[in-house]
Amino acid sequence: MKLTIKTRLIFGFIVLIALSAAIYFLGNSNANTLNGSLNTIVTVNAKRLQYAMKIAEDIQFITKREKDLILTRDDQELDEYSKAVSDRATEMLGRVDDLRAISDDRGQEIIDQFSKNWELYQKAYNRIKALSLKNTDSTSNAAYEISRSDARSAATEAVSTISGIVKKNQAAMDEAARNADAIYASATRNMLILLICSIFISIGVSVWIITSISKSINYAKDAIRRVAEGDLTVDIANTFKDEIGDLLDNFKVMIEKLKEVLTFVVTASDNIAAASMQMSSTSQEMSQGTQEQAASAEEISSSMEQMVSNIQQNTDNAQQTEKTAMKAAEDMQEGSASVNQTIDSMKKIAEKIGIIGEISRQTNLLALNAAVEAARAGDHGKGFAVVAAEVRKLAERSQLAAGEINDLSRSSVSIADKSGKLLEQIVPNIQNTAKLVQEIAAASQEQNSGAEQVNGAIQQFNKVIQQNAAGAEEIASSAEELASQAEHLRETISFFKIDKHQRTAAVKTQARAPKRFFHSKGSDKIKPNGEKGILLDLNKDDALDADYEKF
Amino acid sequence: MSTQAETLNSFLSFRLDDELFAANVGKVLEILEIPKITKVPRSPEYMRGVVNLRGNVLPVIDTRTKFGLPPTSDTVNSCILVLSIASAGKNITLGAVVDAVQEVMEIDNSAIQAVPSMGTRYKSEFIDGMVKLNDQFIMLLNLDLVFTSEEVFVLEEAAGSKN
Amino acid sequence: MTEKLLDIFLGEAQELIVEIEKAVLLLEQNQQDEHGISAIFRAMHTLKGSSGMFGFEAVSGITHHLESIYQDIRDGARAMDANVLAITLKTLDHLRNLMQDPHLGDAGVRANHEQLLTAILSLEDAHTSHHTANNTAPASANTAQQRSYYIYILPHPAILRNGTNILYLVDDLLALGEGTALPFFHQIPELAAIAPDTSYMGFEVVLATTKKEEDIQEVFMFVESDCDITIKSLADGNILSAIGKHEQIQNRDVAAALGYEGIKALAAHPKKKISKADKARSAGINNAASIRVSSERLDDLMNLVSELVTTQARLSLFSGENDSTELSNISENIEKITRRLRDNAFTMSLVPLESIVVRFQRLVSDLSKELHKDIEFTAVGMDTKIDKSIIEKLTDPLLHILRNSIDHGIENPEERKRRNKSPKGKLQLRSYYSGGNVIIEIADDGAGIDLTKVKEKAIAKGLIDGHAALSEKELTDLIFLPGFSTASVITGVSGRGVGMDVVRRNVSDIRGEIDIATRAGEGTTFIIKLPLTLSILDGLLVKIGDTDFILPLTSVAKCYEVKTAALESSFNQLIQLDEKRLPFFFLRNDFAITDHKPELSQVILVSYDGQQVGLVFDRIEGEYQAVLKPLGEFYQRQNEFSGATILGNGNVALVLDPNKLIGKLIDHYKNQQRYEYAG
Repeated sequence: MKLTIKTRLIFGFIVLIALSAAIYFLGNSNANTLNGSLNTIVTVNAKRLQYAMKIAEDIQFITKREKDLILTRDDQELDEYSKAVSDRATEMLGRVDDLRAISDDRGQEIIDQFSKNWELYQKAYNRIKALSLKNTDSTSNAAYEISRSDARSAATEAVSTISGIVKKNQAAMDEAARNADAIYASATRNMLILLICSIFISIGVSVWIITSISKSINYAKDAIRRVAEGDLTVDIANTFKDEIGDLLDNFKVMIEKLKEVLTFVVTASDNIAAASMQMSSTSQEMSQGTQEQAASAEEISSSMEQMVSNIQQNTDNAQQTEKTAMKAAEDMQEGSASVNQTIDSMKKIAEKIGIIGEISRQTNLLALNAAVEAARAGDHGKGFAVVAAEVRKLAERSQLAAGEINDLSRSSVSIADKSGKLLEQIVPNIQNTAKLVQEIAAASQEQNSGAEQVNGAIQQFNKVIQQNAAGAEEIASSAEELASQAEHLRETISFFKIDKHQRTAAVKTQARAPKRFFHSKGSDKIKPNGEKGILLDLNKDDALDADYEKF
Repeated sequence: MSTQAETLNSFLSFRLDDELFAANVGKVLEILEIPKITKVPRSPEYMRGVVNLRGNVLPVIDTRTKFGLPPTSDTVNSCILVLSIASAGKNITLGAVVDAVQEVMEIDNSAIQAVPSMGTRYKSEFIDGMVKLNDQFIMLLNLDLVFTSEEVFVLEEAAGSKN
Repeated sequence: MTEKLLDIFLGEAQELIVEIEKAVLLLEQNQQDEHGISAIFRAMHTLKGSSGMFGFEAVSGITHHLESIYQDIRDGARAMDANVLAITLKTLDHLRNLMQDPHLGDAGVRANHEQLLTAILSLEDAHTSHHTANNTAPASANTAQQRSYYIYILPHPAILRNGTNILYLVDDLLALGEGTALPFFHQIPELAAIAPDTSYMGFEVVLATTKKEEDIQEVFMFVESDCDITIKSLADGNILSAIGKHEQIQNRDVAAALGYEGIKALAAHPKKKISKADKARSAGINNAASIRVSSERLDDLMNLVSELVTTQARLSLFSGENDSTELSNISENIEKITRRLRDNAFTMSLVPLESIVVRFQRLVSDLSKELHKDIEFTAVGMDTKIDKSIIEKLTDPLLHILRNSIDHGIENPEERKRRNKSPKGKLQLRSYYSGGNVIIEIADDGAGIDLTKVKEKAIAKGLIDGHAALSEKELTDLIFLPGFSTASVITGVSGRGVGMDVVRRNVSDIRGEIDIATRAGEGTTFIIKLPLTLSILDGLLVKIGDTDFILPLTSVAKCYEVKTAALESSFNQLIQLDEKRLPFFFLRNDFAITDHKPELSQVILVSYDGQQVGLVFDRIEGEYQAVLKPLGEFYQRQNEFSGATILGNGNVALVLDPNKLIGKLIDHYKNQQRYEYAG
């Protein structure tokens, strides 16, 4: 069974408690006994005593009044006294009943005795009373007689019976006092014995507990102190079966774990140092690349700008062309309108000529009519007929001329019409061209804006590259920082003793490496494994070694 | 022929198709351009209709149809000859549509040749004579007969066989 | 030059002869008619003078003698007697012949001439100074006691409701003497508010009478409470002529009364003027402001006027198209003037029937003597005017009817007595306007036409089927059939049966209608309905394609609009209109007009032969008053066109004669059917 500290302590305390309880019980039982006897004294005996004394007092009072009753001649006083007697008698009888209730057998007997006596007295009294009430001298004398005889004896008897009770109880009380003294004496002795025994037992138990605990704690204290000093090599040979043993077990586990962690940290910091060195070199390289990139971007941007300006030129030219084309189309339209107007005019001319033709035709007709009229007039109309014929000829000629003009104008109309139509055909072509050029202009405008966008993008790109370069620098410095941090970590961890070899070397090799890279500017290739110094092969045969002799 | 016309040897020449005809001016009242002609339904084909001649109604004859020539549409040169012809002792005014009016000319009686009874497509009784002018024959028409007769002017068989 | 004058003379002479004839016929009734005697004398005198001038010696000789006889009669140197009148009439007939044969070339005429001349000379000699002073006092005697009154009558508006005829009052008043009634309007409301039983009218009467003022008041005895009446004396004597001629009276405003003072003022002032006018009047009827115009020139005028109307229509058309206020003002003005000119010209060519009445009177008097019948001929409404050309064509039919009435209608005096009729037969020629027409009636109180006889005869002549039940009208219409006469005795006057059909044809030639109303034993009335003028026709302007037609309004019964397709598809040429199936003619086809066929066509119902027939046109342009022009000889066969008219736009519209058209079309279709059946 594993006797833990807890069990031990529990056991110790239980022993102490048991002892204390024994003492208590002993004391208590003694006190109880004492108390019992005291109680009897107070509650029974003292009460009985009290009642008896009271009753005696009552009888005293009644007898006194009896006397008064006899003596007095005043009726009023008579009444007063008789009444006082009866009242007191009733009171007393009550007390007697109370006394009877708390009385023991003996007491009962006494009370019965008393009651008999009282009855006697009562009878006597009644007689007295009756006589007294007649209030005559004779009667009073008779009464007095009675009082002195019967009544007095009865009263005395009653008082003596009641005094028996008093005596009896006084004796009982004395008895009780003596018993109490005896109990107290034995109790005091028992108590003392018990106390001494318990003191001894307690001391023994305490010593046992203390010694058993301090041994294991001291062991644990030593182990912890060593770990605190950084010595993780401490070997805990646990022989303890108690809580401390458990603690030591756990502590042992903790040390193991700690050792594991530290070993990991050491390797990790080694790795970090190596990685940071690598990062440093990479970022170096990146930085260089970025520089180059930035230069190319600059170049692209400038060519882009060149291109944009070319496109702009294009657009301007296209616009100019478009305007020219539009103008040409407009001019053409105007030309076409002019031609149309010409045609209209010609048509109007034709119309007018037509009117002239019509007029000459009508003139012709008129002339014919005139000729007819003239002919009908016979010789009288001869002269007129000649005129009419002339007019007719003229009319015919003008009609002919009008017809010719009409033909001419018709043919010119057709020519003009044709040219107008041609012009009208050209106009849409030109308009088409203008439209195409317009489209070109629009396209190059679009191109222009595209190129500008590209240019903007390149600028953006350049900026990003610059930022990248800066970032690379920062990364490099961060890597260096990281390396130093790793070194620092290693130094810190070296406080712990884990095992005796390989520890310091690893830390030192890697810690100094980055500084050299920074200044070499990537011209030297650094081996990432981080071998230190120059590789010397002394075993190689070379010219220098030829002068030396091998030993 | 009326006495009045006899005294006149002036003729109005007009054209129908390619042929030239002449009417004695004594019969010609005037020459009109062709106005709107109102066709009278259910009338003979050669009746072109009636026109408004200064508030009077003038019947118009389609001379081409009357002469048996193929119908053509009117041209600007088409005219109406307003003729006054004698019919049953009365003078009737009528219009005759001709293709073109040429001129008024005096024709000497001696220049008028008789119509050969054969060799012409027209019935000889309708033609008073012929005149040769500028290598072309002009028929002098007997208007009274031409326009009052119900007969067709052209010799149908002759025309038919000739062509 | 001389020929023209001669024409004028001949025309004048004809009129003078007619005038004398008229006067003689009047004198036959009343031999003491001074007016007639002096008229004959004047006419004789004029005729003598002008015939002498133109070398009509025979005329001037014979009239000279007659003139002197009438001079004596006029001067009271001799009495008028029947002998003189008879010789005068004979002379007149002779004079007519002389006008054609002034130099007594014809032997008969010469013999007649001699005979008459001796008769006249003997008359002249037979009595030398046979005086009968039958001098009647001149009219001035009457006017001595005359007095002119101004009477103002304003009936209360409600007067018509108790059945009083105001016109009777005026008539009663005028019966008291000579007077003129000047109506005026009193408080006439807007047209819409006019109540037909309310009087808005009053009269002012200027009365010249010998009666006293109380007599005048008596006229209004029963209406005093219903009228405001004022009677005032204007002046002594007759002032009517002074007032009647006054411009203010002629052109007065009828919207208000002139008032007593107004009339009095008129009567007082323009005395000089009146006396001048009176003088001119008294100078003689022949000198009245009229001139003689040859009918040819009137025709010319009419032509020019209608041409002007046409041109004016074009002008207003043009001014309507060209929005120029001034132009339209001018155009409207010209339109007004033209219309007045046209109306004037038309009325110029209208002649009162009076001009032919004399011939009728002669005929009646001659015939009644010949047939020993006692006939009283009266002519009523002879101032009715009618177109000259109609009158010319009317004379013959009227004479024929008169002859018929005298010969067959009016019985012998003995027979009349037997039939309890007055022995004197009555023959009346009446004429009056009815709408746009003139009605001429010839009424006799003779035996009437025995329709049973008519029927018998028609059956006997095979004109009708014996079993045919004919209405009275159809029976009377039989009389107009050629070769029909009911007279049992053929007299020299009538009864040969060549008459009534000619009458009917003549009447219908002048677009007239003739009707007979007869009652056996009571008399016969011939009713001729004539247009006012032949040259104007109220028509409906309709179109088919581009061709305009005029349909006489009188023949149009009703117009409908019908879908063209429905008409074309109707194979039996019947169309349902107003729940009746009516035959119709789709004139488009019949007239061979093919242009612009409309979706809706107009069916115009015309009555033909007692039933209704539809004529289908493209559209109805509206009413049109057409001036009728003949189509000429070339279209004689197209008598379905009664002529043509020139429209406002210068186009020629053809005037349709629906009766002839439908008749022709029916014949045409019948022939077609016959061909179809035959084929």
